[in-house]
Amino acid sequence: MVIHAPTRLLLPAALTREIEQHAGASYPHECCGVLIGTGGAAMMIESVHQVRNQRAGRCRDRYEVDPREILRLDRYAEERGQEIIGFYHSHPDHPATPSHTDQAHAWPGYVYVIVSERTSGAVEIRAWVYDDTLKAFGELPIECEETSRPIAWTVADSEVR
Amino acid sequence: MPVKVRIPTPLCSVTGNQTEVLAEGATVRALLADLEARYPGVRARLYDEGGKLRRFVNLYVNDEDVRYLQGEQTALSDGDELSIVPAVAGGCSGQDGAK
Repeated sequence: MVIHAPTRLLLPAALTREIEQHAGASYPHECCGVLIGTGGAAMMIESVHQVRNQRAGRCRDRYEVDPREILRLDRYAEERGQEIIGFYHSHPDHPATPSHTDQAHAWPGYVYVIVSERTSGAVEIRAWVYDDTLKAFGELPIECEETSRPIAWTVADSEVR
Repeated sequence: MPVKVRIPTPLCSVTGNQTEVLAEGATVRALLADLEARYPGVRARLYDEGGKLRRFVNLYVNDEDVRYLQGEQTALSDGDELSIVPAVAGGCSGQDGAK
């Protein structure tokens, strides 16, 4: 794997819809998932994987991914010659911009997709990368396109408990 | 006794972009010390200034979290795999601005 500073995120429309549907189904709680694909200047998402939000007591405004799921999906990606590109989570009734909590937990090298879900049903989805030197997030433009390619899916436990 | 170490993306800048490397050690602690000798800079990512493993770093020997084994004293055998898994968390708590 070669690390490039990403300049854009290629996210097929079908996967965008799945992330939005996950956010909608979890509302008013936060949902989270793992993005798998190939890296490079243009990061290509090949599959998205719902995982359970571990922050059961704070799931309205916090999320945490089970590290065992990260390990499992890292192996899944490796078997396909891919990698974990990053993660997504929702911000119910809040903007699709990183919070202080997001920044406190951010890792450089991953893409963080945030989907804002409102009571009105309005949805906004944006992608971010964390710069460890600047100690700040920068936005990564999303290119969302329709695709006829088959999409791999695994669903763990998407219910927020 | 080389042990395979899985390196997460955030640490790949230290390992020359390798996602898997080999290191040696009879325990997790010894292995991480050897990893630092081979790839200087790893330790600063894994340990805090007080020399304690960072809270946001998980270590798995095969499929077991070392916190539920013997921590950094967990013994390693030939063929084991150590995975460094970052904790991924956050949320809209602490968000600037109005809703």
